[in-house]
Order: sequence, then structure tokens, then C-alpha cells
Amino acid sequence: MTWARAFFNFLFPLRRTLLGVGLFAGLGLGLPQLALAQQNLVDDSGVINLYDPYCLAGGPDDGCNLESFAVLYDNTTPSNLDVLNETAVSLDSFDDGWDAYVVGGVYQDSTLIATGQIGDNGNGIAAVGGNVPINTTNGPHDYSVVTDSYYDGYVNGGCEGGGTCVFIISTQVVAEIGPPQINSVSPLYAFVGTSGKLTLNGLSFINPFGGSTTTISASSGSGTGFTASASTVTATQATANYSAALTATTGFWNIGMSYTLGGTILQGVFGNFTVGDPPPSISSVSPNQWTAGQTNIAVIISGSYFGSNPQLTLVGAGATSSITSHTDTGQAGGAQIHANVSVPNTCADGSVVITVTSKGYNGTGFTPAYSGESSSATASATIIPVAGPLAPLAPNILFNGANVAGKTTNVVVGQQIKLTGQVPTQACVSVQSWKWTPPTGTAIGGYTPTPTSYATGSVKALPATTANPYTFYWGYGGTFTVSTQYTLTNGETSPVSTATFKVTGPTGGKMIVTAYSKLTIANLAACTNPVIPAGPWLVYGSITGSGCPNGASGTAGMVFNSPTGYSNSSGGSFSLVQLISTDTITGSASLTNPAGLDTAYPYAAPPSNDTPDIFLKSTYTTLTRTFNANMFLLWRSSTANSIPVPLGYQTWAFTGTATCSTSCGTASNWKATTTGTPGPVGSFTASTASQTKVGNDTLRYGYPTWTVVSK
Amino acid sequence: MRVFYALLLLAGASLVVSGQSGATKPTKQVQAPFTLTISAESVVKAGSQVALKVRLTNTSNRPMNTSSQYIGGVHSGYLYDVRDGAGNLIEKKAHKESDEPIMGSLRLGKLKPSESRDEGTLVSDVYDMSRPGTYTIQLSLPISNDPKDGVVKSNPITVTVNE
Repeated sequence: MTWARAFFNFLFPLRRTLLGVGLFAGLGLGLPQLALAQQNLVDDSGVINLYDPYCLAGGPDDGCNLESFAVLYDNTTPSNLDVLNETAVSLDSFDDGWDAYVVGGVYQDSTLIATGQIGDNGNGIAAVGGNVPINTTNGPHDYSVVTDSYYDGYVNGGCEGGGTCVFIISTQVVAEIGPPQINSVSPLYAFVGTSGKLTLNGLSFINPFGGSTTTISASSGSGTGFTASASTVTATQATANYSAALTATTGFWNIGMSYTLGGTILQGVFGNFTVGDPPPSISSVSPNQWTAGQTNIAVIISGSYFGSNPQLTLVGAGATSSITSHTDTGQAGGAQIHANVSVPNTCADGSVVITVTSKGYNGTGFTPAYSGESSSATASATIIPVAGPLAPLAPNILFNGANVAGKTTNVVVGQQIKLTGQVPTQACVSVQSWKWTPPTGTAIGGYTPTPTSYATGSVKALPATTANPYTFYWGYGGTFTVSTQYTLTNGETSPVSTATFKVTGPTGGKMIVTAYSKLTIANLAACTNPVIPAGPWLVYGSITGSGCPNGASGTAGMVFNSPTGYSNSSGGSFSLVQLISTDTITGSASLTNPAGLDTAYPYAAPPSNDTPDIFLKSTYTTLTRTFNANMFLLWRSSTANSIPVPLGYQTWAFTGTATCSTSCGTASNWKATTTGTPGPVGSFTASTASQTKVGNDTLRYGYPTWTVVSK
Repeated sequence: MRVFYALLLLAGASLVVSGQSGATKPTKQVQAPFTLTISAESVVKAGSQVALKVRLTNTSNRPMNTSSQYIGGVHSGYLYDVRDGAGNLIEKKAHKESDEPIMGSLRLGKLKPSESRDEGTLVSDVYDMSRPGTYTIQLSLPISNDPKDGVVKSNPITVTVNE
């Protein structure tokens, strides 16, 4: 046999007293000394018969046997492993040229942390072992002691001498060493007033060598009322019984686990466990129908987990409440609130939302056990109205503060008619909507242009029939009606109320125009401020002077005289609006002005005039102008917020040509020719609601409208 | 002749002296023969037209010639002072030389003493007021064709152009 020096990083040759060679009855070959009372971890391969093919045949033979051991001794501590790797062989092995050889290794979480190998000690034992320092302060680790056992052919050098070295078997023991690591607890919370079982999962829950009981406990600073104790424990899973008193301290609790290893207490803590208040629920409200106008109705609200000081709120129908008593056993169905409920509004209707809010049981407020848990529960009650159908009264129609329903009221055209439907005083009436019947006659919602905003001019539509107040204007005189009614929230509809209006306005008159007989050439002087060119102008009318402000005089082309013959016009004022219908230039220049408003709104009030003109540039030799316009006469009452109304219009037109043969920058070289008879086309036409167009101008209910300002 | 001329000279001088002796003569207040009052929408949307309502009132004791020429929708008789929010004068829109004819509408008129007349004018057609901001507008009208007689100014107004 050979002696091999051990080569071992943290281990040194066997330091234990070994049994002698040979079988130790019942325990195999060269079994390492193991106190029967010890809790060592041992992997024993058992006796392996290697007769064939390793031993010679014939002769008294007690067998070629080998046994392999991997041992982790129970005096291992959280900082030191006590290990042994051993190979033992029988005496007959020696006879056939074999002794023992061992290679040992220690692993931490599959990482080799110590190794050694040694040959036979002359007694058929090859063993290495001893203390291996470890660090488990940051958590448990998985430790493996691995023994590789060899048959060492000592005759030719064996395992150490490069001779025959036969691997026979490996043995291994594994143990989780270190403080308990609790990875999860299920469930993660417990309600106060309950008991049950928790399941803990993790690592190193027990002393792998036995001899120490694992304990489980709960703590929360100075908290009280919640306990946990171990029920079953394995290395990776444990169950614990818990009990939470109804008034237990709520909030986060630590679940702790501990046991002793090598005289050291190892502890692990799970800090994310919650003891919370259970969510309330309402199972019944009795009675759940409350009569409008009734007070101090005794109501019982039953359910679960209202807490030791519940809050009761009512929303709807003006209902109020006060708690007279409350109880809560902390068990399901064990909560009840007695309250006095009042519905003072005799006209109340609909339903009431009842909310019970728990404040917990320990006086510190409601603590949810999990995210999103509600501290409130709701139910509802129905209000029984006082009476059935209310028979709503016919509405009042207010105009300027007076009720005009059923009456005839005098107004004027263009006056703002702002009507407000009003419900007569009546108990328990709640209006849902109004409905107006559009006024008879020509009623409009308004007329858009103003002296400071006239890019477009249009007639507004009547307001929606559900509007209240309802505002409109009559454009023409007559006797007209407007009606309204309302609908209650209970679906009942009131009778219809009707107001009659006698609408008057200017009638019987007209606007007389005076027209010049022809187009002429005007030689206007220059104006520097503003800049207006001097020279020849083709003018409808006869003008001298300059284009400077207040610098022109003569005879206008068209004069719109003050209206005459109108009755009922004294309460307002006249105005003019001119729309261009046609305005085209041909000849040395071409232009077509779009139909639309002539320059501004309104036109200068009557008496007024218009003298269209066009500058004859020196580069021109001929220019023809065809012009057609409509001048509208309007009237606006002096009542507040009134709009103008159309009374009539006068169409007028002219066509003329200016020609020049030479030196066309000189006015005297121009000649004006008039085509036909310029001036009014037809007579003054009274406005009517049916008028929609005159020439190229669009009318609506006789009102002049436009989309462009013609220039 | 020399004596006469000298006497005349002395008379003028005395007049001058008498004019210079003693306390300063009070300045005679000259009332404008008319007033101009303008108004407009106080807030308009960018790109919209800005129209002014102009009320011309004859405050003299004589009839007043109020002829005016509209060119392109703008009352050309008024002088416009349009400024931006920083008080800078807005320049008139660039006049494009074109072959389009210059068309106008002459309005002849007279105002009796204390009579008023309302007119409209599109100031945004002459001045670029398309950018959001505040604009101050004031109109003036020459008292006569003689520039020495000066002008009458209207009240200034502010128009806000929003986006």
C-alpha cells in the first residue's frame, strides 16, 4: 500500500479515530466514527463487492469490498462546516493489490470551496475531512460534500503514482445551511377578528441535522392582538396558525421564523404582512321605502363589518339621518345600525343612496388589508312621493315683467319680443322642459349686421322651441299669437297658454328718388391728403371740385329723398342699405364687381345720394360701365334691443361710355355717352315677407342679405 | 413822404409797443366746427374685417359741406392713425400697381348746425390688422381744404385682434 500525503485546502488528513479495518458489524467497512446519538448527515454507499474483476479467484476469500462515505457532521455551525470524505476497502483487497484512495470536495451553491485527496492509511482507510469556514450571514446556502472513492492499485504506483487507479463510486450529502429565508406568505393579509392558517415558502426553514425546533412568531413594534405559531415545517415550506383579535393593532406585521444551529440562533423575517379591517357590506335596509315629508323614520341597516364607530350618510331627496345605536360582533352578518331618517321635503321624489363607512375596530381609523379595499358600502332606498298626478297649471307668459298670457299686447315691428315661460306657484312642481309654438306671422331670430360688423348680412333663425326665455322679432305688422306649455319631471304636461300681439309699424309711405339725366366727365382737382388722382372721371351726375373731403359739389346721380307718407313711424328712425346688383366695366379696363353690400352698413341715412364715378386713366381710350343697384329703406323702432325692418326698395341703374382719341390724361378730350335713361327702374317697391330676390341680390323675408362687401 | 413814412412807422411801432406792454392778452379758444366720434367691435377674430362707425356732428352755427368719396369701401375723406400695441404706426397696405380701374362713390351732403351723420369705413382694407394683438385707431378730418386750418381728431379706440 502506499501512503499519500493529503493535499487539501481547508481540510487536513483525517483527524478522527477510525475503526479498524474490517467490517463493523451492521455498519459496513471502516465506518467513520459516528456517535449513535449524533444527527450527522451521511451518504453511505454500502459495501460494494468488487471481486469480479478486480480480485483473484481461489483461496480463502472474504471478498474484495469497498465502501464510500460522505459525511456532514452535526456540529456544523453557521460559520463552519465539519465534513468527512472517506473510502474504506477490505483486507482481501490488499491481497489482490488494492487499497483505498479518496478525493473529496465541498461545494457552496455548486461552487467548489474546498477539496482534498489522500491514499490508504495502511488500514484500508483513505479519508480527508475537517472544518470548512463558511459565511451565511447574508442568507442560507446549499452545501454539498462529495466523495469520489477509488480502488488504488498500489503495486504499480496506484492513483498517486500514475498506476492503476479505478474510480468506483461517489457519495454526496447536501444541506441548506444558514438563516431562514421567507420568500412568500400566503395569504398576505389577515382581517381582524379572524383566525386561520398561513403558508410560508422559502429556504432553510429547519436545522438540517435536527435537534432544534423551528418557531414562527408575529411582531409589530408595540402592536398587539395578532399571533402566529408554527404548525408544520419542512426545509422549504411551513404552515402557521394565526389569530387576529378584533381590536388587534392594524397595519404591517413581521412574520418571523427561527431555529438553533451549532449553538447559534438563526432568524428570518417577512415584513410585508398586513393586518387590516374587513370591508363593510350592507345586506338589508328596513324599511327601504320612505315617504316624502315624513320625519324620524326608524330604519335598521344590517350587514357585516361596520366597525366600532360607523358613519352613515344619505344622498338624495334631501334626506337626513342620525344614528341612534349600532352593534358589530366582528363576524359576518353581525353588524347593525339603528337610525332615524327624515325626508322633510314633501315634494321629494326619486331615490336615496345610503352609505355606511367603517372606521375600523381599534379606534385608529380604517386600515385596508389590501390595495383598493373600500371602507364603505352602499345601498338605496326609494322615496314615495306625496301624491300622484299634480295637474300642473297653465303657464304664465312674461313680457317686460307682465303676464301677457290670454291677453293682447301692442308691439311694433322689429321690437325685441322676449317671452319667459313661468310656472304658477304650485307645490311639488319640477319642470323638466318647455315647448314654444313658433309665433304666427313673419317672425325671425334677428338681423345680423351692425354698423361695426357687416362683412355679411343675414336673417337669424328662430330659437329652438325648447328655449326659455324665447326671443324673436316680427318683421311685418299684423295680429299674431305665440303659445307655450311645460312638462314636469313626472311626465305630466301643462295646459297651453297663448299670448296675442298686435304688431304695428310704418305703412302707407314710400321713398321718392331724384335721378340725374346722364353720365358726364368731371375734371376733379387733385387731393393729396387723401391721395385722389386729379383728372377726368366718368361720373353719373355732374360734379366739380376735388375728391378732397368736403371738396366736391354739384348734382348727385341719384338722390334718395326722405321717406314720405308713412304712418306709425314716429317711434323710430329710417335708414338705408344699398346692395350692388350689377357693376361691370369693359373697354380699356375690365372689372366685374360682385353683387353685395355697397361699401358700408348702413348707408348714410335719408336724405342721401350716390354719385358713382370711375377715374379715366391716361392710358384708357374707352370705358363702358353698366351699373344696377337696389337701395332698401328700413325702419327701426326706438324700443330697446330692436332690429331694423325693411319697408321697401328702389332699383336704379345706368349705362354709359367714356371715349377719348388723344391726350387722354386731359378731361376735355373725353366724351361721355349715356345709354338709355339712367335712374330708377320701376317704382318704389314695398317689402313683403315673400320676397327672396331682386336682380342679383338675395332677400330673406324681404330683408337685404349679402355675403360680400362690394367695392 | 419821409415824415409820413416815419409817422406810420411810429404808429406801427406803438401798436407793437402797446401790444407788448402790460399783461399777456388771453388766448381766444377756437371751437372745432365739428366733432368726430368713432366706435368699432372691441374684439375681432384675425382675418376679419375691422369696420368703424363714424359719427360726424356739425357743432358750428353754419351749414357744413360734408361731401366724401368712397374708394374701394374706404371713406377716403378721413386721415387714419392706426398703431400697434407698442404704439408704432402701422403702415398702409402696399398699393399694387394694377390695371384695375379706380372706382369711387361720391356722396354729396350738408349738415345743418347740430345735425349728425353716421358713416362706415373699412379701416382693415387700408391697414394690415391681420396679426393678433391690440390696435389703437384714431381718425381725423381736415377742417377745410387749407392745411393751415388743421384737423379735428376723433376719440381713440382700441381693437383687439384674437387668433
